[in-house]
Amino acid sequence: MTQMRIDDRTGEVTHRPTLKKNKLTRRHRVVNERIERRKRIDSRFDTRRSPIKWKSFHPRNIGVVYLYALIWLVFMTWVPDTWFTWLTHRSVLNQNAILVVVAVGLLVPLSAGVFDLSIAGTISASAVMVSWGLVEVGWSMPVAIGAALLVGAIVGNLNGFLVVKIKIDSFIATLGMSSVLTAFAVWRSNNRSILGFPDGFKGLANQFAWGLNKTVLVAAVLAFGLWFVLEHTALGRYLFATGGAREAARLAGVQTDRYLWGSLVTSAMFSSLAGVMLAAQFGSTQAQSGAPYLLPAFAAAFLGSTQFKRRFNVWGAVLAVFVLQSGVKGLQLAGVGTTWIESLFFGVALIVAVGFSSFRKRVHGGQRRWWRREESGPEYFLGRLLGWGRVRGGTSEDNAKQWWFDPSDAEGHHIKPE
Amino acid sequence: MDSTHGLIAEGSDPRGRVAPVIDRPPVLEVVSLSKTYPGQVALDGAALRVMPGEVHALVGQNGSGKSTLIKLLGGYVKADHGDDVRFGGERIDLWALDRDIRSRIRIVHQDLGLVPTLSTVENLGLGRGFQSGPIGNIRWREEVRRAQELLLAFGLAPDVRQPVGTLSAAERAAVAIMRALQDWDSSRPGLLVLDEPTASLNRGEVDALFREVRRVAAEGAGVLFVSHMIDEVLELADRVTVLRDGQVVASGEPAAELDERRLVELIVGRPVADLYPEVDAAVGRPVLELSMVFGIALRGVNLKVHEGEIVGVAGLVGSGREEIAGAVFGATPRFMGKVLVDKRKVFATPRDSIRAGMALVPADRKALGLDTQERLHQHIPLPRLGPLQRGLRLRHRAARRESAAWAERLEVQPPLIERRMEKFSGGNQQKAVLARWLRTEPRVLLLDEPTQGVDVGAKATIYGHVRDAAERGVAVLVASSDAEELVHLCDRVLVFRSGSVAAELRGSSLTEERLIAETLGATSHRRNMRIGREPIRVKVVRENPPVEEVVEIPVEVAEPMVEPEVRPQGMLSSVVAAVRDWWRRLK
Repeated sequence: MTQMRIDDRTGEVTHRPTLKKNKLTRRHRVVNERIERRKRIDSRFDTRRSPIKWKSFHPRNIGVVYLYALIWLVFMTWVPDTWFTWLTHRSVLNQNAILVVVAVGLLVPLSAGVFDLSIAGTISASAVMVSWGLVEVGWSMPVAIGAALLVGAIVGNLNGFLVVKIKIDSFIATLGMSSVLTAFAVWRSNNRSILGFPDGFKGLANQFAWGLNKTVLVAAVLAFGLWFVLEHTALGRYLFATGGAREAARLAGVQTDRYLWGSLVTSAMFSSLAGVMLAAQFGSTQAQSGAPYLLPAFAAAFLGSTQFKRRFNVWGAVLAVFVLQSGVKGLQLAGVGTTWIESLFFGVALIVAVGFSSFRKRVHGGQRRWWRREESGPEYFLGRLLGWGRVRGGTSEDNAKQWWFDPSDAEGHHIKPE
Repeated sequence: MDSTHGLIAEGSDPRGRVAPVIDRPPVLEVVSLSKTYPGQVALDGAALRVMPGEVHALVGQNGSGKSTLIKLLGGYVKADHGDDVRFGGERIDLWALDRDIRSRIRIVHQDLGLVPTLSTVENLGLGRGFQSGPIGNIRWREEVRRAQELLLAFGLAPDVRQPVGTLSAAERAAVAIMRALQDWDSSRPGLLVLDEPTASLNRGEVDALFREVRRVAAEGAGVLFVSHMIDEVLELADRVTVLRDGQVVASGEPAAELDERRLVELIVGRPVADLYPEVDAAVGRPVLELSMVFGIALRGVNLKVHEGEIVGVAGLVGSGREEIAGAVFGATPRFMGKVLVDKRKVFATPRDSIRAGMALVPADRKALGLDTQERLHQHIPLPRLGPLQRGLRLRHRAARRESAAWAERLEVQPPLIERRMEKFSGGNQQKAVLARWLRTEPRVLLLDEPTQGVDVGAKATIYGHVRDAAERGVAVLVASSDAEELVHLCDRVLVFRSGSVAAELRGSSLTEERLIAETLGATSHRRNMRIGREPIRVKVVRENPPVEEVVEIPVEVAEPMVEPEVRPQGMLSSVVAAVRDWWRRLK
């Protein structure tokens, strides 16, 4: 029946028949006929002929983009003098490169189905480590940075050990670890700010082009690399499989333990790199430097997971950081809540993102209210305007007939003919 | 359909069923019921009539609209405009039922609807409330006694204070059914709907269930019995309604006039002469060899599967039958012994098993076989992504093409590779799982309950592909609780009792009756004996003085006829148990 040819050597399909109607099985035809009949009755709702995939423009899919447009609209009118300068937008990028590094690093354990709450602690600990090494001990720069990254490696492996081997719930294990790391940071810094880095180290966060810092470059490279790994390699597949159904993935030959462990090491390494960047950028370090990054990173990861695809993805997270921080920046320029607005924004974003995804799940099985029906979507109204849904070749009179819903038509179709 | 109520010949039924009462109106009469989901007509003008005192079976393939009908009856979804349903002669609206009628339609769903963290007593009290004392305190002692009595009707005596999640599948099913049946008011018309109630029950429990169902029916209620098991349907039901593609193809056929073949034809819509293709196996060299494999319930399994051979594994719950496939694959722990594939030793991890050429289709499809959220084109390639890589990059397009080809080859319906796995029906999910593993070109195919919860049409496809694989030289091991399936599909069947191979049936001795008898360990002349088993050899290493010796544990050990359920044990305790058996015999 199927005229499919498969190359024995490569296992690739060399020829595959197109799904033409006359090539389908009898059952296909039966079902297709039924769907056709149903379509005829419901053709006034038929928007399938729309040439544009409207779904990909739906706020559900790219809501953050709409939010960004809204932010532009608001601040264009509110603070036009400052909003229209490159300085404003580049400072959003410069100030949030660190957050992007932390957030994309966090995506890895989240994709694999474990939480890493120790990221903030790791940032603080490695920032303190590099500052302490440079200022108090007098290590050379590569040694100090190496030591900071070593902190990340140790933390990641400890987390991996606790979660994978001891089988502590990742939430609890990494929460405990973050407290341990805070203790380490306070102990090393004596609970005081560490200042006075050599210029060479501060130069790591200098500008490189168009007023952008080198940290932006680092963040972009890391985000791009991680995007490639998650979306275009087998490793990414294995990570998502581990996060989706761990035991099923294990039985499919995925070494889930190894990927869980590796994902925790990855996020810790990203965080410790963020710690080094933080020390270089701010020129001073305290024991609590990393704390403000915990919630924004989670908010960005979760808000990003509602964008583009229904899973954690790099560009969603990056965009979420950029858009939310643009909004924060705008409000700060306008002089609103300069101190508290950031916490508010990210808190709301986290709740909305998680709430939205569970709301969507409920809607799926729930009642279909008019605003959730297909025929109330943008494609419907636009389709109505442009005539996509109209039956082909009909005069206005035929259309009128089509429009008029004949009840006998609906009632007759499900009666089995004798 | 005629407008008079169904007339049933009285007293002519050899199975001694109670003839339904004719002069009373039907308990449930569905004149017309449709349900349309976007892009799909799930139920198209269904019509059926359940009389008082009647067990009415509803059968059909997965996706034929059975579960939609049950959802409609339960009021979980709203029917299309123009539905006409009558309950006890009165027209009702299923979407907005009043409490009284709702309480007379009792539904036991396939997933049972129990709260796993609550105890049996609490689960039984959930819908009904508890007997309470003067200050609103629950009278636990009386509740416990009541729960125990209810479950004793099933011949089960679990600890009713334990969380339901810790009970066995059969006990859970019993709890769910008794919950639906408790405080049943038999004086008024009522409808009991059972959705696949026997899926996890063994024969004795099925009999107990059928007794209960017949009792309920004899009291004048109507019973709607939804099942895949055709022999059970023919055994229990008075009349049968068959759904296919959302339409009723046979409404209220008297079960006495149907036989298995005819019913399967009605369900599938075509004659099924080729459901079980003829067995013709030429035995080659051994591919899979097990020697002295211990597991949680396994106690020293030796077996060989040859090239191109399909070997079945039968056994009661706890005999090791449900564990063997997983243990061979390394999905569940195994101790001692050796597993060889083509003479190569395989470690007890799924990864090494796959590398050695094994493939496992697990019984618990939803939890172990697939990720419900992934898409078909992500599901199929996962175990072998190597050939799809170019450098580090995964070739998405090639993966999609290959998935589509496999979906088409296995007749996954609909063949849409972008669909999430949860959206496919059970049979199609199973086909997708099989496709995933056939793609890895396995040497050994391990199937654990390959057709559990799978409709008849998909069954035929799955059998066909398993047989094809065997013809290509794959060694197939099928663990199944379905005797009929084993007899027809397999070249030989190994019967497990107490965690090891107790008997082997092949050729003319491979019949269903013989298989069931062996499974129960009740063949007349060799009753109470383990037959055909090699002695257990245990290597004992003494430290002082340093001696290694091999102790042979003979196997002609008398065993009780009713096997105790084997509790999960570690390696040490299994060895200890074997030694204890031996010691008892010495005494």
